[in-house]
Amino acid sequence: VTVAIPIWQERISPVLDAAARLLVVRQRRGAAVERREVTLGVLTPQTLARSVAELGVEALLCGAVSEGLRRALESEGIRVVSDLCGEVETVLRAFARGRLHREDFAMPGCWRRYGQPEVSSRCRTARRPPKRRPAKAR
Amino acid sequence: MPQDLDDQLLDSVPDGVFTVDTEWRVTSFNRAAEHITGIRRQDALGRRCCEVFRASICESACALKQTLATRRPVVNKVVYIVNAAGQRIPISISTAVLRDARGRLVGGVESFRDLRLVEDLQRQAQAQESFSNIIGRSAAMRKLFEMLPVVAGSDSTVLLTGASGTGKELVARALHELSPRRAKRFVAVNCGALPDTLLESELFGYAAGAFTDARKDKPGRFALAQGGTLLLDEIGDISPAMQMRLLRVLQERVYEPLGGVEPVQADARIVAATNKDLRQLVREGRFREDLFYRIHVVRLELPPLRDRREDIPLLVEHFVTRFNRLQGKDVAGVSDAVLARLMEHDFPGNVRELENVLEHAFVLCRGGLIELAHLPAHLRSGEAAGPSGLPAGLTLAAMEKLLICDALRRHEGNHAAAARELGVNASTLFRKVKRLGVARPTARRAEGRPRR
Repeated sequence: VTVAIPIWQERISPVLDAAARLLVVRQRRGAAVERREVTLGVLTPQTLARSVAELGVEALLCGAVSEGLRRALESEGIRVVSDLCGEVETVLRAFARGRLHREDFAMPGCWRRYGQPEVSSRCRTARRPPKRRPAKAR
Repeated sequence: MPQDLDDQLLDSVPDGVFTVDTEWRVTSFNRAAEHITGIRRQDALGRRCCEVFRASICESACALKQTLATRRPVVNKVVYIVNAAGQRIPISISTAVLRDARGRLVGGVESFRDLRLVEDLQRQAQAQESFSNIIGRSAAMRKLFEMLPVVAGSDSTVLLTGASGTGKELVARALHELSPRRAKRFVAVNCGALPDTLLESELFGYAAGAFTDARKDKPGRFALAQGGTLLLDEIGDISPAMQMRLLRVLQERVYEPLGGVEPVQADARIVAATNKDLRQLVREGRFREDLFYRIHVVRLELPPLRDRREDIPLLVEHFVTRFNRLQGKDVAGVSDAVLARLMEHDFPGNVRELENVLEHAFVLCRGGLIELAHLPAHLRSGEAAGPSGLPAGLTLAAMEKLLICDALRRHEGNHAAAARELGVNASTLFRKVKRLGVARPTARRAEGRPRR
């Protein structure tokens, strides 16, 4: 799978819409087999989404993203996992192991303790509820 | 002050406020900040500010970082944030440093204001001041804005009258865009620019073999505007023969392309425009009366700019924004002196002239405000003189002094003659000369013999 992640100071860039650098990693069986970094200019959501799709990206892990850009990316067939934060390498490892749902990777505001009613429909936790509760969350 | 009092104080502020420590961790987050960002205080506290605030500048030009580095506040910088619901929210931010009781730097404070309401209000205000790119808030323009949708909804022929540069084509386009024909084409023909034969082939097209070099069919403007709108600009300038042909098309809704044998159905909404007084042309026998009444179904008159001077500031703002966008400049607007000059100018070329004046100024102005020096010569030449020929900005006393000096110079210092010309008594003039400190003209003494 080819995964992209906007980066800033070795961490996930806080806002995808304003990110300047994008790391594109091709993973095979959880290990990175190819990495490259591209610079993102000031682009419209459609142009940015098209550029990301042209890089062969299948999944994009990012922090905050505007609805317009999310829609543009999804219409290009890219799976968007948003509202993430943390160090890039840790996030990539967690993605490869299917552990992105951990609370440490959640931006504030989009992560509620499971079962709470005010979980935003936008948050990835709401769309993909974890199978088990992390012990630390209690 | 106890902590909860601090919180109460911050919560009473309508702007979003948060503070950070020197590690960029959020240390307080007020209720308005919760509301604007969609993030609860308990979720925000202790987190990195960029993960909570998610502003467009977090990565590239963090205002708090700048303030903490320079110790200088940032005031009303406009950026956007992406809130918890994924909406881009325009905000204006201000930052300052935070110090403890001993004056040591302990972090920074950022306040931010949601600009959505302001933008909504601006949009509403602009909507009232423009209509399909036609700008104006004067009574004449408001009346026009009210009429446009109604007229556009009908299929009647419209006659647009108004001086050159008043925006007749803009109105014609607006009529098309607002009409049920908007999905089809808007085609404009300048009837005054073409000789008869050319205009005929331009309007009706020709069939192959109609004349030498007519190797294949060429559709005319009527065919191109089929189902859409056809603007016949400068209709007052067409020849009597052409008027006759046009009348037939308008009456029977059919025409024959040059060299063609089959009549073609004309289905275009006709908008005619002219800067001439058609009624006068009819009286002079230069315009067919029947054609006049055929096109004079609904008449919209566009006022000259001198009759709606109150729209000039709005138009200036519109063109400044437009030229900034087109030329990638950052001109803030025009100076008060320039606006005053534009307001007193008669603009014989109307809005087009104003547009050209500002385009000229944009070439010369590198940024900041457009000044008098950036205006074209015909507006700048009167820099020192007002409409009366007198320098602008004079006081009454200065004007009096100037007129007395002038009269004395013309009469070579002869007070009696100057007083006669000015319509005052010689002794009054003497008194005024003394009071105003008018210098005696030297002409006679220099050229003639000395008095003593």
